[in-house]
Amino acid sequence: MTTAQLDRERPMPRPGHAGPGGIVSVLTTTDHKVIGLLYICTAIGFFVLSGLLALLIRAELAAPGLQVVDRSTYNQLFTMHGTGMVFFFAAPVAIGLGNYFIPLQIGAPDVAFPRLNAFTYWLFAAGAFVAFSGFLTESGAAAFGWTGYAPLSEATYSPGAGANLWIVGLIMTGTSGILGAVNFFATVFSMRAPGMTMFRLPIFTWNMLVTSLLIMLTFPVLTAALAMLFIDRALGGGFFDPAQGGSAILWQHLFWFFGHPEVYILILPFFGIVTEIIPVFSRKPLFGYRAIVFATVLIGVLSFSVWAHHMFTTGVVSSLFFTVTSMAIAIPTGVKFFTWIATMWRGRIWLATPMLFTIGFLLMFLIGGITGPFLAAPPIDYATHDTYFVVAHMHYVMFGGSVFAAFAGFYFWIPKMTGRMLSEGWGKVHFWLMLIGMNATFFPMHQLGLDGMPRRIADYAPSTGWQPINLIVSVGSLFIAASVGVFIVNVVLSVLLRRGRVAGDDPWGGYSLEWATTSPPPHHNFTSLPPIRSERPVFDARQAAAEGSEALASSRAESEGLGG
Amino acid sequence: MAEELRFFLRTAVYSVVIATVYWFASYAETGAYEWAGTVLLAFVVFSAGAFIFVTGIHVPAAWRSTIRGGVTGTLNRTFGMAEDPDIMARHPLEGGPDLLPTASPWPVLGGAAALLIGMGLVYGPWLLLPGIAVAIGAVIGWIGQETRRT
Repeated sequence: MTTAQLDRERPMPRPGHAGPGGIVSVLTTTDHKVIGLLYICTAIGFFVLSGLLALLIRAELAAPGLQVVDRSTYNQLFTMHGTGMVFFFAAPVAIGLGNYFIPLQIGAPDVAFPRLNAFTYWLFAAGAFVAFSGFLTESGAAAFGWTGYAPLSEATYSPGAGANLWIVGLIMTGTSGILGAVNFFATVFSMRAPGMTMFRLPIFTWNMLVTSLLIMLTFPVLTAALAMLFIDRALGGGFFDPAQGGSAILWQHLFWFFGHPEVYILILPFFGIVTEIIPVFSRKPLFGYRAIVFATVLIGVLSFSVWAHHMFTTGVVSSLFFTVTSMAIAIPTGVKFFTWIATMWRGRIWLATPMLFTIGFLLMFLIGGITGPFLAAPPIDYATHDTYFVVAHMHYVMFGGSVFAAFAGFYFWIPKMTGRMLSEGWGKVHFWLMLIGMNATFFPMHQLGLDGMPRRIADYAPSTGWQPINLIVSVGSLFIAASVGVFIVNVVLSVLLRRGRVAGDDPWGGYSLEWATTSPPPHHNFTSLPPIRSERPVFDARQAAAEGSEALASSRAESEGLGG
Repeated sequence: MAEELRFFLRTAVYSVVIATVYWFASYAETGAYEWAGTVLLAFVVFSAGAFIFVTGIHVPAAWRSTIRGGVTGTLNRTFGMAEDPDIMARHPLEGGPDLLPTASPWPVLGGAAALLIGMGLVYGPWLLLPGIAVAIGAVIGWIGQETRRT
């Protein structure tokens, strides 16, 4: 496709000094694209690492008895699996994709604060290293669950440096998130290209904006809670110790006031990704742009008022208030679902790998989303709290939601980032293995939970009858592991060994501005920008070029007819 | 009103309302006012309000043309999705940036400083003090680079 003439009202910036190459270039980069790739690669590394921890968990639970690890090590496994997935994979991969594509989608040459951007990455990497370094200590890593409930997380019951390293690591990662969110806000508010109004922003950028709002308003709460816990552990404080006038319930309020918006931080960017993919692969415009924007904003705003549905069984929170607000937040999510379906309705669906993962996301997140209101009802929650029913729900929304959509985004955007297409054949193998593995792993957990199997236990008695389902779950996890291996093979062959087809500027027929530049984009992102008159500027430019070609061909045919 | 302001205003207004409802609902059901949640919601109101203030003083034109079209029009411009045509015509960043940022060692040194400080908080001053020293150097270098650029 051709791009229109450079908009002369806004001169393109001059490229700065390129600097030395190699490892020094990576260490000193301020280019949002390189920083985005660093985030994504690091996040995938932690996804693999945390996944290996999950495989050890499943190996232990496949049969009664302690065959693989002892109870203390098992506690470390599920704690660091959850911590790694939530804090060091899901959020950072979204931030990495945001880093790479927000400036491109708004027509900017970089983010508002490039050096701050680089600092946020190094702070995140340092924090992740600090948290996981607990495994290298004598007492091992943190072992009280990723939720860190007091008093178990206090020094009395969790002595040793591992827990302190977990706290400090999360404070560092949280600070990184806050600074990155500020950067995203400044970028979107002040660096949009001419004609790019707020209601012409791509939906992925909108979703990252709402995610940044949640990060800015809730990560300080987590940071404060972690600081209070550190004071309790290291300086003799008593914030969460009833014997000193504190309250263990206070930790739960603080943690979940962060923790529930956190799960929306983990899903909203991926909602944005699928909203980018569905119109392109349905060959239709997005149905209800403003409705989906408003639904996204409403999800973000409502998420501040649902936190204590995680605390129903404490008996000290208002069940009615939190049931109503938790049910209410399903409404804007439903609006988004119907928008996606309406976009696909009567479209010419192209079942390329990004669209396969997107459809997988829709189905899997729907299942997880249905069990959510179940858990929002106190009578059901009292029976299923801290059982595998919750684990099943959480993994359907997190894995079926975030992970499927993340892979959809990778297959959609890796051609832009690298200039090479990933193999469609390997991509389809990856999708089907992951879909089968995910359902085999997490669907049976619903039944385990209803049968009463508690979460976070290293062993169970043979008389419980839980072993057959646990064995199915463990075998299913091997399918997931195999699917991730297929993805890594695909990336190595297609991108690193350069065997993938050359992507070109716009291999999918995309709509937003990132498809108006080369693959990969140059240092300054754009040599020219198409006119921005809608939320689909590249589509509009492509249509205009096609209509111009048709008009030219038509006038030539007419003149030849007259001259002949 | 510009969307940049409405974005935070919706959060602030919702949080004021929900904090008030929560304050009374928590007493009605549990017999005691729930301070932690109410204070946290008040924090959200305060933070969103601060963002409105900071954004508002930098975008004075964002407040214009809010009150128009009666009650419905005003509500739509204040909380809804209406976009002001005057704002649509303006460029957010007049003229664009002059120069793309160069490579900089100070962010990675800042990250290294954070690593030393973090480990130092756990293991003691023999890591903490060098971390603080590296952090001070990184801050000085960062500000110095910015000063030389401008």
